[in-house]
Amino acid sequence: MTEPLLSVSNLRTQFRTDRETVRAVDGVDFDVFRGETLAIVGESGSGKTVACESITRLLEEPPAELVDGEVVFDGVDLTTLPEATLREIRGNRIAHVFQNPQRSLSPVYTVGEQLVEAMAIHDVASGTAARERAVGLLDRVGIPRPSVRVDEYPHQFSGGMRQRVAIAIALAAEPDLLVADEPTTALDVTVQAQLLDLLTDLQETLELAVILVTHDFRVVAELADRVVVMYDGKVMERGSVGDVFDGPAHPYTQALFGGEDVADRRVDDADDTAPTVGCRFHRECPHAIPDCRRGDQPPLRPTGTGQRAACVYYDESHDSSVVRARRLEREVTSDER
Amino acid sequence: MSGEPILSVRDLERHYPITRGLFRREVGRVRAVDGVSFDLERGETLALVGESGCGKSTAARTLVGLEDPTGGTVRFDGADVTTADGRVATDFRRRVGMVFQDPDSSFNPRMPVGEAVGEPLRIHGMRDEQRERAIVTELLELVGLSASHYDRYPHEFSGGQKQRLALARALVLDPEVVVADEPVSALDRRVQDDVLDLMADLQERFDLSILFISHDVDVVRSFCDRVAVMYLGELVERGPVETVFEEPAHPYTRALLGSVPALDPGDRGELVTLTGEVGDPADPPTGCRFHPRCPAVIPPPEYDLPREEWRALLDLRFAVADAADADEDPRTGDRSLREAHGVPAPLSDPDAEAVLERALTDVEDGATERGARRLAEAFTTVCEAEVPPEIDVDDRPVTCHRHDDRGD
Repeated sequence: MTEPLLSVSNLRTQFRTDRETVRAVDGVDFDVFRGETLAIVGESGSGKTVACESITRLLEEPPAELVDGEVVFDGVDLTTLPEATLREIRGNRIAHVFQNPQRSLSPVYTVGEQLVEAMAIHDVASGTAARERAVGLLDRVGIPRPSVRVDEYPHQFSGGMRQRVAIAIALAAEPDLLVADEPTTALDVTVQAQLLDLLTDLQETLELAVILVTHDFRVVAELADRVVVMYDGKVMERGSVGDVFDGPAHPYTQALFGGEDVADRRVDDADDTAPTVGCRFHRECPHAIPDCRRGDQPPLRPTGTGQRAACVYYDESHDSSVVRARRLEREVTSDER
Repeated sequence: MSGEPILSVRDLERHYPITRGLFRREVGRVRAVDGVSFDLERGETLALVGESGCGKSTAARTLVGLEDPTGGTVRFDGADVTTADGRVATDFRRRVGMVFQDPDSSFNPRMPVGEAVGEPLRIHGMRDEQRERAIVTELLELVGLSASHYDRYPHEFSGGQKQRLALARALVLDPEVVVADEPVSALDRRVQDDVLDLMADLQERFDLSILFISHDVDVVRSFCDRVAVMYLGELVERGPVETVFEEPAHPYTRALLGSVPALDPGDRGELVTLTGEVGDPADPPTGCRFHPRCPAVIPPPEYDLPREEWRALLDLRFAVADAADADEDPRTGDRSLREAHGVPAPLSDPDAEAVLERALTDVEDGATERGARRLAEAFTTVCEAEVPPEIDVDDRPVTCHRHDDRGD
């Protein structure tokens, strides 16, 4: 197998305040290969965004602090780079698209000026060539009448069109890796469908590597090749999209897919945070046994169905059919419904 | 369930004037809600579904009296409450509870949540603090919280808990109807399920009728009995959730459902994608408001064109017309007009092809306006020319020419 374009290992990012230290990302590993889409899935507070923003150090430090881990991008460990070098990589080779496109757009410049600037900073093109390329990029991301709209300001675009512009700016420097954090979450479904089509198309033609951060399994099903499921700063399950959707292995992933029995035990309380001992999910897990409350989060182990899961049931001394059997049962009932 | 609907809305309109100048002369109107009619039956959950800007929240706010309607009537339990004041209005407000999407903006951060939940009681004249506390405490327990939460402040609660509090407050006056505007949209899926389960329990316990405003097809499917689909200020279709979602009769409903990705990686690449953007409610399209984007827009009888070709040709026509209006060149970047709109060369109908070619030559020659006129005269559609009447399709009202004698 070829070398991954990006390899994140044992990543730990915490937020330190006067009162407490929050381990937002607590030992996370994943790889991204050229031309693939890796989805990082989780609920709010799972650490999925922090994990992605740790890659190029977009987080404000302090309060954020990269405590440990390696982020090897094309052979270079980004965690050791000085900010100036990192800035070159950011935007140039790793571009970000956010849920709120305003985060990558300035309200005071036309979209053309912003595209041209992005190209100039990253030495892609300048002058007339840059403007022509800007029009071409807007056309590429599906902005109608790009030669006119290139001179308009972000506020003159609708939400969906603004996200297209943000994607155009992200692509201006011809990056190798696009980190898209909930890029369609704020959009209507019909607009989301257009954007998902665009992302699929861009990835195929540009052979981009994409990290897609999302809470929505439907978006994952549409775009992703592989999936990382995060909960409370930990990776719960990791595998190909086919394996994970065919049979989610971790009880948490199963819960995300809609297990009724889990919902009853949910701890939905702001001041009741997840435990730091044992499996992070044990208090909500319908299969929890004393072993789940010991030690640290179990390591990601092969499940026998392709993916890996961080659940004690997949080690040698437990019977993984306990977790699996429930899964099959639920599949049958959901089919009947 | 008695025969008469608890809430009956007819031709509801909420227009916002666009004014200009010192004397605030009205120069136009934003037709946010433009003639909406439906009934909410006793004990049922009716979804009002649509995308942002379609007017669903404005419709909800208008019918509960948070905004003044500019037209139409709202009848509640038989009485006209549209412009009611005094006792009728107070009574109506007591009997309709409301829940909003963002609990943070509906709770005062400096008021203990128990007081906030009890606030409607005080507004409606309750002076007995102990009784108020007893009622609120009982409600807190009913929504899955406890008496010990009474004196806490909003920031101490999770999003899901805040929506539970919002439900408690909506129920404190013992209403018959709850209007819930995207009550679970800001929550994680698992918390959504919990809150919806709670709403279902409360509905049964209090015998509630619920008007449920949502953009989320999954939530509507799992929670609602009937659905009304809204597009650009109007309802396009309404009926039982199963029928509408299994066999949508209006092309917009079909597009809305088809644009939700399947929960199966094996089915990727099958999304329905619409061309163009939602129209402007200040200047809605003529005829059927969906016609500028409708994949099933009806071709004129003179031409024999496949559906996709006809859609692409109309897109091209509208683009040339827009450019002519703005005095611009409709051509974009280095792609030809045909390429930009996916119009095949040649079209499968030679007569249509001849017209298109002449029009494209006009555009080449810089006579965009002449080209636009040529296209507009030849490529007409009933969907643009006439407002579709409401037709009953298997007992559900649908407004689409495909279902009257103009379509096929």
